[in-house]
Amino acid sequence: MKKFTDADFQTQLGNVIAELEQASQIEIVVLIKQRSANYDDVPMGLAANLSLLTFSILFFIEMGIDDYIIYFATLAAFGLGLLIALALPFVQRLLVGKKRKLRNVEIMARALFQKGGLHHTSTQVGTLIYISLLEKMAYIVSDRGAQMAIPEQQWQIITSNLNNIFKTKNPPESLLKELTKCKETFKQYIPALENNINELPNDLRIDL
Amino acid sequence: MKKILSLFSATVLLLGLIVFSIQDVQARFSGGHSSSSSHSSSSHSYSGSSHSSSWSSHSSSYSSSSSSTGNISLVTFIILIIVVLFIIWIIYKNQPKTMIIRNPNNRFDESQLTIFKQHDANFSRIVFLDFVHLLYVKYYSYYGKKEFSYLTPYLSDSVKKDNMLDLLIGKQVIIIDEIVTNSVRLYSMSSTDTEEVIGVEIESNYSIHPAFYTQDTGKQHSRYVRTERWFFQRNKGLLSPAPETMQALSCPACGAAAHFTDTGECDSCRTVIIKGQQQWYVRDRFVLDQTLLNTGDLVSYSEEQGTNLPSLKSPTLVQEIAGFEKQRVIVWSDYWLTFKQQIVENYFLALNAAWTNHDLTKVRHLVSDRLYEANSFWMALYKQHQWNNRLDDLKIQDVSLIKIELDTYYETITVRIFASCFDYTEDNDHKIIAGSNKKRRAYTEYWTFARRAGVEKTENNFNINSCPQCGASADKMGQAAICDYCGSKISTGNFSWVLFLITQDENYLG
Ligand SMILES: [Zn+2]
Ligand SMILES: [Zn+2]
Repeated sequence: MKKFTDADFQTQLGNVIAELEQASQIEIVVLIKQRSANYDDVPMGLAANLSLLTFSILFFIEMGIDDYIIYFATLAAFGLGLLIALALPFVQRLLVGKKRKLRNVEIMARALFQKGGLHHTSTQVGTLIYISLLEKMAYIVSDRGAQMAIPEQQWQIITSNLNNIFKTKNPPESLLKELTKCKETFKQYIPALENNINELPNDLRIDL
Repeated sequence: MKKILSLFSATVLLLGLIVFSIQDVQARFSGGHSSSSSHSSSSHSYSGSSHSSSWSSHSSSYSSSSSSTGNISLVTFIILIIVVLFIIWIIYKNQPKTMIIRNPNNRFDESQLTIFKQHDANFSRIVFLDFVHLLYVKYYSYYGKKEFSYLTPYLSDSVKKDNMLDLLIGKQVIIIDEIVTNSVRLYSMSSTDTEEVIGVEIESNYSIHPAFYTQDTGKQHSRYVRTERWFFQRNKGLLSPAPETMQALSCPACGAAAHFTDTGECDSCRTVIIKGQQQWYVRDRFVLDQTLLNTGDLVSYSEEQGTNLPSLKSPTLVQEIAGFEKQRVIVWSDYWLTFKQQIVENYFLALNAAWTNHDLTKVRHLVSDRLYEANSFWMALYKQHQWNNRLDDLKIQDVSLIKIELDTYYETITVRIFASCFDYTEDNDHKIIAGSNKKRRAYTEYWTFARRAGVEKTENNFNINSCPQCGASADKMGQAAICDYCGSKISTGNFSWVLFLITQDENYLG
């Protein structure tokens, strides 16, 4: 199984983007990030809840339990909760609401779009395909020209296809497949012109 | 929400721990009373649990005062919880919300217009905004087509060439159509030693189809809302042309509707037009925002926002009334009564009835072309979704005068209308989708009426159902508001008052 961090995968991704841009006027930048936000409160919250739960159970059961056990079990539960949520990303994904995840992914995508200067193409066709791994979400930000060139329904289909890569066994592979599929759509609606100059670098590094 | 919850649990936990350690003291303090306790050491944990067991079993043993320790710690516990909740509430109450800090001078300063009119007595806001509207619609309709050269004298070189439009329209990627302007308003007026500049803010919406659009792929269209700022410039010291010239967008030199070469030479009179010498031209245009039109917004009824805002009456209203009295040789108080009844109330009820009945033909002659286009569009959109927006039992509570504006060509009166009705949207099966037919909704709107200056018809014998020019029934006005009986164009306000603009109370800036 491929990983998003594999050098091999990244070369392949680069090639797919190059193909895309050869077929269409749309300028694509793909950015993959580990996460869109820190969710610092999630480990704390889980720890606090576990700890409170432990405490309550021990406190309210009628058996005579030693005070020290109650005290240390409560502390231990706190530590355990913290550890679980910090070490296992999927716990964070499960505990964070979908709305909040979507919001963070959107904020990050839009920030990257701005910071990366994707709105600086002269024909306003810059398009960011953003993949956030922790949240398992994809988000597309497209500049005005790209937004208008491709009908809204098509954008929605592309976005939902990209979101679905996380439901497959091999998400990196599926991402490549979906992007290749995009090529046909992009080509249909806004085919490449003769002298198609690539205005955006394909390997964009943006630090936020 | 999640954050509050975890913060809450964390605090409750902390609180639990605090109570836990405090109880040690309490147990000691009340230890003598709770003699029933068999554990002498570590009595705190035991008394706590025994108390709670009676509590959780909901038995009456709680009231049997088995342990006063339990009571005291419970009360402390509850008090502490309340304190903690209060602290949390304080913290979250003071969370910064998104704040928009705008330059308070950002709203259009009406005094700029007054100063401007001192140099150019022929300047008319209504005429100018109509000119802007016309140019805006033609810009997008003609872009990439042969007709675009009609507009050459009115566009700077940078406005004439838009890379994005060149790609999208020029290379036949998309087709833009059904352009409707929702609002066109003055944004700024300024001048240098040699030039005058007017900024205008335009909000519009339009449809986009892929260029290979066919009937079969008919679904493939998206509708966008966009806000733009256009800056118009001309040389200083010019007088505005008459409305008819402003509306023609013809050659500024010979008046012919002509094509122009790239250098700006008129096909008809061979004059090379130098921009800004006779007429306004667009120096810059900026797109501020472009978003997908969310039709769901049409049926999401939010609270009325501006109903209780104070009326933004013109600060110079007294002078404006005096000026109007002088120009029309009338007594304002008498005139206002007639105007309010004959024009404002009649128009308001007739237009809203037309809206509810999905038929604007009967009121076509009462509204300006732009307002008609916009309203027809919204009506069609409702129809397309099979939504019927009804304004039942509409009642006017009050009408107050906001502003009177007089210029060489037009007189306009802006009023604020306070009304209420049962506002709801139902589908074709009369199922209510939004709003309510049981709860009356109160709202206010600013309506601006315009009329060509010097029209001497008295409002007293005005009848909204007949042509103000020939008196025939106003049933054959067509789309363009040209009376079929006498051939007069009515919607320009040349013969009677025309509703020019509707502004929602929360958007009215004066
Ligand atoms: Zn000419
Ligand atoms: Zn007539």
